[in-house]
Amino acid sequence: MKRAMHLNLLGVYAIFIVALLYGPVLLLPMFSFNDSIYIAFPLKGFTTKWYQEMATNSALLAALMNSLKVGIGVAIVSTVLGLTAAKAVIRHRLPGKTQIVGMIMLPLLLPSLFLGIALLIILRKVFSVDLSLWTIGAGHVLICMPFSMLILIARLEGFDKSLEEASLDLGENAWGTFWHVTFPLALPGVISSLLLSFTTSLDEFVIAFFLGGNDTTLPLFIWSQLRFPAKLPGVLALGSCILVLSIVIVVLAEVVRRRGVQSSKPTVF
Amino acid sequence: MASVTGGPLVGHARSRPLSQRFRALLLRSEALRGYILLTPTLLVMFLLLVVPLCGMIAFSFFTQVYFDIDFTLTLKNYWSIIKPGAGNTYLGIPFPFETPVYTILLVKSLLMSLVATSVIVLMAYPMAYFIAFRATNHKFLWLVLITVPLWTSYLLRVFAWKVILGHNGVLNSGLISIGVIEEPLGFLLYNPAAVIITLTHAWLAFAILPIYVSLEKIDRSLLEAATDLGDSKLIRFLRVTLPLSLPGVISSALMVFIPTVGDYVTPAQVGGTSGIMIGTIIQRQFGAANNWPLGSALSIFMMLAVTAIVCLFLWGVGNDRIKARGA
Amino acid sequence: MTMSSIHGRVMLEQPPETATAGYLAAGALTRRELGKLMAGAGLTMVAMPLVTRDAEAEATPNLTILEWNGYEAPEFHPEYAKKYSGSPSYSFFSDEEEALQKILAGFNPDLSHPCTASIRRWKDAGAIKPIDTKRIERWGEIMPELFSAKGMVIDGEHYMMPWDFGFSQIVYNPDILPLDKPTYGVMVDEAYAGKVSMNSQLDVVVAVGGIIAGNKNIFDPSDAEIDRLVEVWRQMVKTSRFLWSDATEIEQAMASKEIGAAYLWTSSLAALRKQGLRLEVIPPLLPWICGFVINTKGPGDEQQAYDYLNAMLDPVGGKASILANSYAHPNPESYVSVDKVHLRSYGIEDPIASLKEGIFFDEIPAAKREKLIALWDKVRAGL
Repeated sequence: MKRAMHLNLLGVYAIFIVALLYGPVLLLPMFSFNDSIYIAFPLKGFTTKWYQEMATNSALLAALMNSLKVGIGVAIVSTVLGLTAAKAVIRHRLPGKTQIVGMIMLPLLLPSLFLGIALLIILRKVFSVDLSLWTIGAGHVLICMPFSMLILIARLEGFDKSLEEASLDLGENAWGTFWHVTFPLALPGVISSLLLSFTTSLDEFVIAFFLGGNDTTLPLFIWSQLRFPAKLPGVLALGSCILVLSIVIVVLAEVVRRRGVQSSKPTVF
Repeated sequence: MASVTGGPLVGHARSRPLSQRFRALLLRSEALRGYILLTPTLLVMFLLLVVPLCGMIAFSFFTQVYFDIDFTLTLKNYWSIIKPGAGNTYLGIPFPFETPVYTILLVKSLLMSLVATSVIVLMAYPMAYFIAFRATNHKFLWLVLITVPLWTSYLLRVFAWKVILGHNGVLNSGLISIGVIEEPLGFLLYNPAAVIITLTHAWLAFAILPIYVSLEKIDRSLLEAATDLGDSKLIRFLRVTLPLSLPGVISSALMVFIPTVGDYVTPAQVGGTSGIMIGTIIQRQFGAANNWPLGSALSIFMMLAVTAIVCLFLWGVGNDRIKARGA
Repeated sequence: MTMSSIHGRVMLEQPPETATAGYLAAGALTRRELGKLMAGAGLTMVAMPLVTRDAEAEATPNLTILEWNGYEAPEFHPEYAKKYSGSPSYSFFSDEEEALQKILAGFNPDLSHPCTASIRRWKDAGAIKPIDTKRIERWGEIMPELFSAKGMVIDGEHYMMPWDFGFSQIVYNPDILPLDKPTYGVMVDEAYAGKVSMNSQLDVVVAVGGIIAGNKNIFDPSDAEIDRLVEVWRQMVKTSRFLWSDATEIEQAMASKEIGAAYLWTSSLAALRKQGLRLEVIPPLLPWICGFVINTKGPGDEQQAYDYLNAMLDPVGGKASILANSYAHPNPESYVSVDKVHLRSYGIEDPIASLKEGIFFDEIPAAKREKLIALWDKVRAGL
């Protein structure tokens, strides 16, 4: 009895948090069908014209594709770098470890505007690199890596080191040990880190402004659209599509995963 | 330095035929292996961070003269931040500086960020706990579920909050329609509370993830052992779960606190006329005010303050942990 | 100390080269060191995919423009689009100062699009060079009055080709604030606290504040005038619900009737009126002129830059831009076939007359600017 109560209370809280996170966001689909360029009450009337506008706005869609490319790339690179670094810091007694960790956390402390300008100078004047999505990605890796590190250190810290040692003793090489022992242990952290880095990159615009040449990412596009409020509803429609599509994909993935688990069960046991 | 010595070694480590001696060396030297693992990360950091950072430190000792930089080393920029003078009071605290605006805004930003961080971490913990211990079959689903709202642009979410809290917003219209109020409440939007609410919405998912990660790895047998020893649920939580999840709580607090101190966009959007922060001033030095040296000095000033608070926090937490272990 | 002397020497050898020279010098130093490190680490590999595209063949666009979003439509430059079968590449900005910082930090566009109040700063920063007006066939078609605007011509040289111009103003909604005698004073009237919204940009608060304070030299205030200005600012910040920084923000607030009076761009005024809002303009108008400048280190084809400038003066493109953006165009021919109703709703039926009657956004002298920025930030912080 008591246990059920406990579960319910937490469950109610979880639902409250999800409602809090989704509540404001669910207004977006509502206003995306509103026949007014302004996101304000009262609602004016039903229209689907913003969706037509979105579908024909090639600059908007190009910006979205750019953002997805950068976001996925950044998530992978920053997680890989974060994982190796976290493992090094946790597993090996390193002289200067605190300083190294401190340094990796530094990008969190720097004003993004400063980072944007400083990186632009480094990339243009020191390396003479042309601005592109690659340079935006490099900037984003820099600010995502601390997040990845923090999460993965929290995950790896305190794990029994003997697991890895046993694997090495049993003749696995370093790569095999990493792949078969460390990585599965770190998996929840890896997923969290991927999600965080992707989300951060998807929303970042100050660094993207300075490091982007002729390629525009979605937040940059939206910010520059602020000069023209008439175009905002198209962005709203896009936001709604992203929201609905993400939810559909996530639920589908979950369904597929559970099917997979069920069908594989008999063979395992 | 690590990157210089470690760089070429990575190439060797990857290529298949490893010399036996090298392997032996690797196995023997803990630190060397550690550094090799760190090399890629450090290289990226070195190229993209250390160089700009050194530039910033150097710049903070220069002087801007219109569009030229006077490269004579000077402490003038730092002095202009802390030079004593008549000053002002803020929140009843005197700030006896000639230009108190920097210190006042720094304190304001730190306070705002501290409040936001506390609220966010407190709200995140039970949610992370729920995902780690209750959502047994759907963990991945829950994790993604809480991040998906963040995939709609930040700007759109700020608009959404304005619509909720605004003059003819959801909250005001709702309260009017059920007869609680007659006139729209003006204090919902354009004030520090609105900033905290918006920040909470923006960072909550970020705070949940690290806490979840560290709760997830707690060995369930420890919890069973505690129960077997007769601990009540609360005691068990306080003695086992909470201390073991502290690394996650710390990560989460740092992840929210550090970036929000320098945030200037959220306060500008929903903070009203009080929405000016230390980040606003710093940003202006690299933009409209065109004073990179002062901007650099202010950035370093802010970084030092944040670092001091973080160290204090870590030291406090560390002490607690030692005490907890001793008990 | 060695560092300062090295840089000191660089500065002496190249005195006019502005801050960029310094950045370059610093870059050269670190480049050597970094070069060694990079060679050691074999990192050059990483940079390979980032290497530049080759210069393209002749009849294709080879031009990069740092532009406000919304000006890139091919209908605005039909001649260029036809000649080079395509449009230039655009990089977008939404704040003039950030655009300048991006250029100074090493992003090199061929053309960019600031406004008159910034031209001297951009020139002093070494970001732009004079325009050879003979290379622009339609230069003579530009309304001559535009060239008498302050800041347009510097030391007898044309640094900007005026292109779009319009008017900002203080606007009020009589349904929310029934003003008897509307003046700029509404922005500092305690009776309307929380119902008005000022813009946060320095040039704007200097202009509006100066008008309210009754200053004579609005854009170059004396010390006594600065004192008065700061007093007005204090009141203005207290009265304002928020200080807006983008058009969407203020339009949303006016559309939801949260704000009854505000500083507003003409485009916003037109858009809000189209949504059925009753809005009245309080004189004086605050005219501004923006236009194209040629950047010093543009990597593209200079002839294409001039062809683009000429194409932007084409009345066909001019008409399209008037209808799309509701701002005035420098070629009088552009207006001929535009419906008078449109022109009236945009307030540009007789753009030159409005330009003369308003208080033009003049440049603020550099030293004053620094001082005023510091003061404005202080007032905004509530001190």
